[in-house]
Amino acid sequence: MSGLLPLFVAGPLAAAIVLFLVKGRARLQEGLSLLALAANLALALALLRETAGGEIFIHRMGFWPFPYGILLAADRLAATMLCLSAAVVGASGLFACSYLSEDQRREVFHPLLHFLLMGIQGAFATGDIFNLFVFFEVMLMATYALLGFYHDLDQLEMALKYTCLNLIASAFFLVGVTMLYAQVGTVNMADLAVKVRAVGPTPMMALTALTFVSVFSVKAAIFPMHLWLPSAHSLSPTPVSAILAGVLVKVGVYAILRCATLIFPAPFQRIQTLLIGLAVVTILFGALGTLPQRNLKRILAYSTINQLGYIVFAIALLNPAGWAAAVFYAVGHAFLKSSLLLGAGLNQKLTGTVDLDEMGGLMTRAPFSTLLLLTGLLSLAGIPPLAGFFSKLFVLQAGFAQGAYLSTGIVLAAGILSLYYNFTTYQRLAWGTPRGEVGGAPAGMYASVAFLAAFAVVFGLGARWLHEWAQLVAAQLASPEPYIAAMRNAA
Amino acid sequence: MIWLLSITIGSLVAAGAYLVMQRRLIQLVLGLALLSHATNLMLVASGWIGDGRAPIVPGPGPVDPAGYVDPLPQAMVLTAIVISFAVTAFLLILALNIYQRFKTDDIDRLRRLMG
Repeated sequence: MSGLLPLFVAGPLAAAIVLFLVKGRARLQEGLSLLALAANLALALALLRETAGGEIFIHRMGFWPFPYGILLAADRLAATMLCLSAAVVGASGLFACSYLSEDQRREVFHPLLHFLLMGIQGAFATGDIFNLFVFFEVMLMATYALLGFYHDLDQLEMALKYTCLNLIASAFFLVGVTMLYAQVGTVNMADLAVKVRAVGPTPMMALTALTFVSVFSVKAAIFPMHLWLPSAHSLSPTPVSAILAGVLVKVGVYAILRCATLIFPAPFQRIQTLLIGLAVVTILFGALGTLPQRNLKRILAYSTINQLGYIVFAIALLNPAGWAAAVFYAVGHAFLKSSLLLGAGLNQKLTGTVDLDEMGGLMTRAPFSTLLLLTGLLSLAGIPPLAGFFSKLFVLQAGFAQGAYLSTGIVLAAGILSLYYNFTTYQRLAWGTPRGEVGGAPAGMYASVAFLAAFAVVFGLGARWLHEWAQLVAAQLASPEPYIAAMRNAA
Repeated sequence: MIWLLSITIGSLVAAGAYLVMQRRLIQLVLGLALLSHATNLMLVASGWIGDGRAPIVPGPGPVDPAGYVDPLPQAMVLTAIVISFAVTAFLLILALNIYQRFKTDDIDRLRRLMG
């Protein structure tokens, strides 16, 4: 399995190049693209199976000796994230085939999608912090191009804002790498883990950790770095929004989790209070931000901010129960939010709008798509037995067990807001006076939304199974010694 | 020599930050480019050791590494330079696109156009 790790990067790259060469032949391109996405998902599932026993797979790129070369590493966490990205990107690719217009289908959407997948999977698989920077950039480059077809000033402004902000974040990422390199002289994560522990939690090391956290919180949209998210997620084409909200923000979350567990465990203790405070503000800000919106995709975007606050809150508890809750939440949210955004796109295809004031009475006129949206909204609101309920439950349990009563209390109270906005959204969409015409939509759209929405139910009814897995992931994160040893002794 | 590098980095950051806060898109793009140059220089500076001799082995036989700069950040900075070049090119195209369509690159005026 170790030898197959480079395929997570090389596979999408090869697919992107081939798809680029058949540009203009839409059917062939889409067929090949879906085939590559399916193969990628199969590979990710095989990796998940192999890592279940706790084995850690390492591949040395170019066979350079440790710690000079770039390592690809897959533990349970990396395998989980790879599966999640493969599934969400796959479903979005399927959705895009029927969502894009005839002209857009002849363009380069699918090649860019595979470049994006390459960046995401590379970021999850790499064991080298500078290489993580490179894969972040690959991923961002693809999103810059995918974000919009740039029809109007709103979209151009959003693209400009997103690009500038991420450029500054990338500069700070490099500043962080510089600070780290100047102190310990390495960029390999296992080597870093050992040497940072040797240095101890000095103020300079805490500052370095904080630099990385602020860079990753731009990706994970943590207050005060969240301002780009609502317009980027609502103005981009729907399949892209689903990937942005489902997977891309998780890359930031994943990087924070790796920093907290592997690289900077001691410096994180010093910035824990700050991190918890920011997470709580993010939760409140996201929930309050949904209230004045009428655009369905914008409501979902603010709710993404809200949910990310929960995940980072769970990570910032800095104990295995919190990390397990964060992994559970991240997996559940990835499927949930991408199903909701694709559902909004399906709804847009049916009614021609994403404005809630121009919808109404859809329950009787488009029952199947509305039921799919309802499943997602109920789960987002935290209604048992759907996945969203258990996600919140485990976060709150971990918070109270830690004794963080005040912050966990605020988080609990914020749940009421999310209950409120999800129900009003549903009410405005499904009931009320019917407005506008309802058309038809291709089966591929329904299939991709249903595939993702099904996980809200599966992870809800099978919460015990997913939580056990999340605890296994967290246990592996809590004792990083085997991970470090595997990297050192990689053949 | 390290002080010369520090002063250069500081000036680049100051100039970049000033330009980013101006009203025109082209100034924004140039400012961001200067900021990424500053961080690239910083990465080079992190591998600075002693009097900064170039890390080229003079000939066969064992070499004492003391006094040579660390070559690894220099290898990494090449990657970073290429990336910032590509992003700057993309930003310039984006700015050009906005300028051609709305006949202005003044951010305040664009904001008024958005309403």
